[in-house]
Amino acid sequence: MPRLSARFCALLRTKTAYYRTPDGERIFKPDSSTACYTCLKTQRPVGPDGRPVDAQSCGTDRGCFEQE
Amino acid sequence: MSRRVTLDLGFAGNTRDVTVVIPDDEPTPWQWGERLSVVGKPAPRVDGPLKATGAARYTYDIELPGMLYGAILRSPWPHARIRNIDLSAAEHLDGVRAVLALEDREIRFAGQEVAAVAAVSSDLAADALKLIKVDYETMPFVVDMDAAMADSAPRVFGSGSNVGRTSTSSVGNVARGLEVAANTIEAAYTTAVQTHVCLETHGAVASFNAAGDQLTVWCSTQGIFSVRDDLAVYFSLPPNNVRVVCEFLGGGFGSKFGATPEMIVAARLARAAGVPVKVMLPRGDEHRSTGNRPNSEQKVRLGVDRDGKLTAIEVVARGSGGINGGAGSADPFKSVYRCANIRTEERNIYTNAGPASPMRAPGWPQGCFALELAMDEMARKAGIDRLEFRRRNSDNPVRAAEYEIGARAFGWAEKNSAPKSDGAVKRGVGVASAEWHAVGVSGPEAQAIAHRDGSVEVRVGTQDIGTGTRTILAIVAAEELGLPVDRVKSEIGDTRFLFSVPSGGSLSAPSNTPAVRQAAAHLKDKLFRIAAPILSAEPGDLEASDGFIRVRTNPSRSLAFADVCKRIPGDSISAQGERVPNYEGFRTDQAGCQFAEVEVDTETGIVRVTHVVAVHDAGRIIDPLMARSQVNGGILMGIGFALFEDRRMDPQLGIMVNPTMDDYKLPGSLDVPRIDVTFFEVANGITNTGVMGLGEVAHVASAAAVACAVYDAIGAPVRSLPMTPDRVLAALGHA
Amino acid sequence: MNRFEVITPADLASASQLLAQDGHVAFAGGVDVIDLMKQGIVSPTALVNLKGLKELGGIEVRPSGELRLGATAKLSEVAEHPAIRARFTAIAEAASETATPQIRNLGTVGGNLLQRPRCWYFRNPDVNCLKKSGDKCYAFGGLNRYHAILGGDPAFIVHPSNLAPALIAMRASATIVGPAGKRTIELENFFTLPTVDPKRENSLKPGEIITEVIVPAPSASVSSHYLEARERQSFDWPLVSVAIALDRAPGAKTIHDARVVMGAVAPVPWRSHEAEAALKAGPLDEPRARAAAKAALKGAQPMSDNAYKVVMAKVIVRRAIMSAAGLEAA
Repeated sequence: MPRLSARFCALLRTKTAYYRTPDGERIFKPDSSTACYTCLKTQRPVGPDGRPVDAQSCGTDRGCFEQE
Repeated sequence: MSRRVTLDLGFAGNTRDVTVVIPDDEPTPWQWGERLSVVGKPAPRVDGPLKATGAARYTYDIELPGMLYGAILRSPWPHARIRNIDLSAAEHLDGVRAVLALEDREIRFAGQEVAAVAAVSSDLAADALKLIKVDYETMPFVVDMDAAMADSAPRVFGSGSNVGRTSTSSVGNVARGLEVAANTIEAAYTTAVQTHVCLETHGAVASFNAAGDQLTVWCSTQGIFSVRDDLAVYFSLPPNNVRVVCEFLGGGFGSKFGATPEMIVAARLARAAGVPVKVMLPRGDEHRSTGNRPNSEQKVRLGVDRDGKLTAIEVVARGSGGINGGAGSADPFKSVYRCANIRTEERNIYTNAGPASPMRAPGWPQGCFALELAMDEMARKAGIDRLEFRRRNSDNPVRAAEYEIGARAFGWAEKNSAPKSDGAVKRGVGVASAEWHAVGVSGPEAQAIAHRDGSVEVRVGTQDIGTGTRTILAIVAAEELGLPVDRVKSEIGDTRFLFSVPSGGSLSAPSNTPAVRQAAAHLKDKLFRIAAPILSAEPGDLEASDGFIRVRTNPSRSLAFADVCKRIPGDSISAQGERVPNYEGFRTDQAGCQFAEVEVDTETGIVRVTHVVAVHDAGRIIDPLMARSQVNGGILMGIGFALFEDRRMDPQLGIMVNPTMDDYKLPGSLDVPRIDVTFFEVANGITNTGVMGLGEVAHVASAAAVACAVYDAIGAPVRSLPMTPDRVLAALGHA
Repeated sequence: MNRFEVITPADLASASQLLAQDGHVAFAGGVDVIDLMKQGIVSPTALVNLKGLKELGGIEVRPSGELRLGATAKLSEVAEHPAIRARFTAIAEAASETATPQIRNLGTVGGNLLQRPRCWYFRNPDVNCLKKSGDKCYAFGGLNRYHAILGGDPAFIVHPSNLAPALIAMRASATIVGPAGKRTIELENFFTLPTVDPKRENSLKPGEIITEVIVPAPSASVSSHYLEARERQSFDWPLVSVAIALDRAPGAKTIHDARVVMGAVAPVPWRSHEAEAALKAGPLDEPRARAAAKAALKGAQPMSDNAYKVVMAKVIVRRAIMSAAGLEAA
């Protein structure tokens, strides 16, 4: 299920998040097995903290998290 | 503000009334049997001559005064720590204007960006790269998916496991489904990493204004607004201070969403140098670093009852997206065929290889290949005709109709029962099913402008990924305004136009055409208001057709469209339209099927595809020529996936050994079979145009159909793609 | 790519003098050399343009029936030449199977013979292998699906020329002009194995230029055929190729002379005396062709990924023999 984009790091990028719901939310599908992610800061699927980035792990508990 | 309309929707022999509520200013969706004048008629690509003559300006062609050429230094090592980067010698080279360190920590794949330079020529930039001294501390690496799963394997991400999360889904009880089955099969299928191979590599030309607060970027992208927004965040600029232009795009296939590394490098270099900088990737970098379709290994179990109905479908899959995730492939198993018991399990394995990125129907070509070849193995074991087996296990009436159309066009009955030749070259046929859901999204806005000279412009901030976007937008506007297509010009590819979404997920046509139709309808209303007093009629009594604006009840009372435009008080009159959210419509899925015929040389293992018949539905087809071209492309990419393409990683060196057009093999002209495409029209009423996307659905079944045909030809399944001669010979027991 | 100059010498002697200097590399069609320069595999300071030298041009069938191919004759000219197609069939076929029409219109006879191997380790600028200044052939123990199955050790490349096997099958020799004057060498002896020097594929010395290839007049009873197998039908290198020349007197059942030369299987065009002997051992029929093909691959030593080439080569050799002999394949 799509979730509210505010829960995700403002720098997290994935294909679906370039589209918005009719309510203007970025679309994330954390359960997708085919979603690829990148961090806008590093340009790679790795966060500034050296860990992989995705919609399940790029939450507030990471030191590099940025609020949208 | 809104009205309730009842629409006649569906397809030949299967229509029904669907009532939808639509905004008052929104044109009524086109219905089944709607008589349209230019929509649905083949029209050549409006920008075809520009492309054919080389006049079309791609990012590669952008040259600005004072522009520098950027180049990127990449790591030759698959895994390393960077102890130090010494840029000084490069900085001191004459003609070098900017040098940047891009990565100062850890390298995780060979080809990762390390540093960049901008110089007055591309040769000088290349020279400068050689002067950058990087002190690498090399680390153990792993590029092979199986090796990466070992406990002792080098870790791609510090202490984290190389085995990523598991995604599972389950309905019913697969164990029980296999128990009650009259026949079962179990087999493992593999597919190779496929790279996008955009003909135009990734790149950008970036230019800051003198104050450094306005950024303009010309780039090869699927999403000009996505790039704009990413750059705005990255450089802390308001989005309106960033302008992104992409007039022509040489392919994306999913790899060109948002601001990619080379765009940001170009902009950083431009800011550092104070002049525009162009960065276009060499082919090798394109292969290694800009994305790929992950590989897969899929262990499939199927069960079937005595009636040929599936009782169980199970797939346990893994794949490696290199340093990225997203290697799943199970989606087709969940929905293409009906079964009460389905279980899927997918795992992503990290390796020290270039990151995966979305690629034309992510996961589907891999999954369809495994599913469809398994279906054929099951059908053979159960003694059922393969097409009949699929009919029995699909409950989609659109696909059922398409199977019949395709079978007739292909000559399935005769070809499937033809005896095999006694010679070395055996013919075989196969069929595979497609599925997609390209209904499009709301968000895009369009502007339609009528000029005093009677010409019309449509402006949308979309981009043409190669599908003929300009052409279909012009056709839709022409239809609404009752004009010939050549009176309408489409302007796209600039964030100065109204917003549109990225061209991905087969979303462009279904997302943009309704906004354009609404804009054209609003423009028409304005022109009707000009024409009405002259025709002594109410605006609501007028219609536009054949280049005239007429009184509906008395068509002889008319004005030429161009004559109405002469009454425009200024130079132009414009109107906007928006893409409203999807209506419920007829159905939101797409079926589709492809039939393939191959010749296999059973002594050399060489496979040739000789004929493909494709039957697809994509709602309303705006331009059959453009649509057919997309299907051709999807099939060819599928043939490449089936027979040739494989990103090969050397396990000793951790590098891709074939990052060239020579060794990474795409189908060439002689590898192209006869292709026959039939469109199965469905009036879906989901939007005012009822258009659905074609880019992905046209690709998902292609490799699968070829693999099924090879199995038919040689009597042994080749369970690994690409089906290179060594694998075909091995399947035949010859090597 | 490094900076370089292009020198167009006035005559053959100056060309030879220039090419004797360090960093000077011959250039005609430029198909391979420019590619190598772009990859940084060679970095010449000067390209010596041989295109205008008249001694190197032209195609001619002499009154004696001998064929002369100038070194700068284009592959497309060889492929389309009516007399070559009629009497030196394998040569025309080999030229016509090469690359693409565009490349055949640029590529020359000399360039085709002297092109460097396509090995993906050799062509990778990040890999320093035995053919460069390294000490290891990465194909052995690495990814070797397109590599040598015969005579590979210690550098397991395959020779990429299509033309060479056909020319050797037709007993061609090369005329070479160099600082020491003119020499003629049978093409069969021109190519050298990596045991001689892993960095090179032939015996051309600094300053030497192939000016022409001479193919002796075949007797009227000679028939020839070139056949290759590729993964892709367009623009691909052969996985295996073979050129066959058979001399069979009219009405005779037995071949009295034969040449069997394989391409893409070894670091040099690989002539198989074993296959030739097997062909001459009795009346030519399908089983004999099969036996000859088996003999041709007798010493094959495939590596981890290329055993299929042995199977494939046997098939291609057998089929080429049958075609050259005008026999129906079984």
